Amino acid sequence: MKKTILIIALICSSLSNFASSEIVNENISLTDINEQPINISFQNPKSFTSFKDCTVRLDFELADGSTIEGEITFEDVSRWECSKMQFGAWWARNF
Amino acid sequence: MKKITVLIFSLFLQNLLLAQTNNSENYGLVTYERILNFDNKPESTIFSLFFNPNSSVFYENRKEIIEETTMKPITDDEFDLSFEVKFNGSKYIVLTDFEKDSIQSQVSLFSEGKQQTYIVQEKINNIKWTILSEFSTINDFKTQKAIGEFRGRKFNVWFTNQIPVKYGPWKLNGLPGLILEVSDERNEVMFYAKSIKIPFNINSKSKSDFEFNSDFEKISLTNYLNLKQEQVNEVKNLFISKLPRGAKMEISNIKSNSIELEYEKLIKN
Repeated sequence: MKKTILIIALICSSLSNFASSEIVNENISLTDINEQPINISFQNPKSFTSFKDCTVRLDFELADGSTIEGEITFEDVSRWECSKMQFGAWWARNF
Repeated sequence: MKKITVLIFSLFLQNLLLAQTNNSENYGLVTYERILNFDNKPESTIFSLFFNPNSSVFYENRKEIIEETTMKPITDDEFDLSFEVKFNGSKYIVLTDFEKDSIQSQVSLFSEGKQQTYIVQEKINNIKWTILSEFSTINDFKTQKAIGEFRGRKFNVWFTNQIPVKYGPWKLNGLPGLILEVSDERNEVMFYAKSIKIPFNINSKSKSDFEFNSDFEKISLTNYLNLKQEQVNEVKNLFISKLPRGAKMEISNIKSNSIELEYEKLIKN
């Protein structure tokens, strides 16, 4: 009988310890857990912005009938920077 | 005595009329079609040639004068852009002055971030023509064939002695009659006379006093060739302003087509 009481006491003690550790971890809120991956992504912007070589092909037609073709390759620019050049050229019609 | 006076007067009048006729025949207006066939993409442009006894003006027949250069994207791939650069605001004009032994051409280039028009100056290049015993008829004019080399191209031309002036399209001249047709051995450069008005309305004499806009900078042919080589660089500089500092870029695959392929030693030096 003594043995049975001892075993029950041990089980109760271990259960109470488990419950107590759960209360300690309650300090980490649900909000914190959700924000964590977003914070990581902002620390590494390259994972969201693609960087590539941007090739700009030019085809000149001069008044004397000459034509000149050429390519300019901008190394490791973002899609945004490449688009800026495209829109810049599109709007800047008057040089 | 009366008879002698009448004879002298009639001779004087005849000479005067003859002189006037000859004079008016030295003024003409010819329309040419220029076909440039670089990379099997033929492009046609209409030009006029006005001539007087001492000079000729060869000019593009384009009405619109829009002072702008268009840079039109022809692809929309986000990292692969293509642009056509056309200089819309300027006509190509070639003034050949035999009195001053000079050729002046009006051209436009992209320089310092904008379109700039220049007057390119050079001396008349006396083409060594070989006149052949080949004859043909073009638009009711009896023509004769001649061959000559100019700036790296061998030209076959048909000229007519029925219009005894030394002019022709572009910078081709120096034959005993007006040049009506031109083609080069590569079949890349061609000129065809489309209409001829001789004598041309003498009231248009003012055209013989043709002058370029004095605002345009005059440059040598050597300078023009250097500026032409820098065209892609000029656009590169425009793009640099849209990129962060220290951006790396590379220019490649530069290829050009031109009517003039080679230049005399004098110009090269």
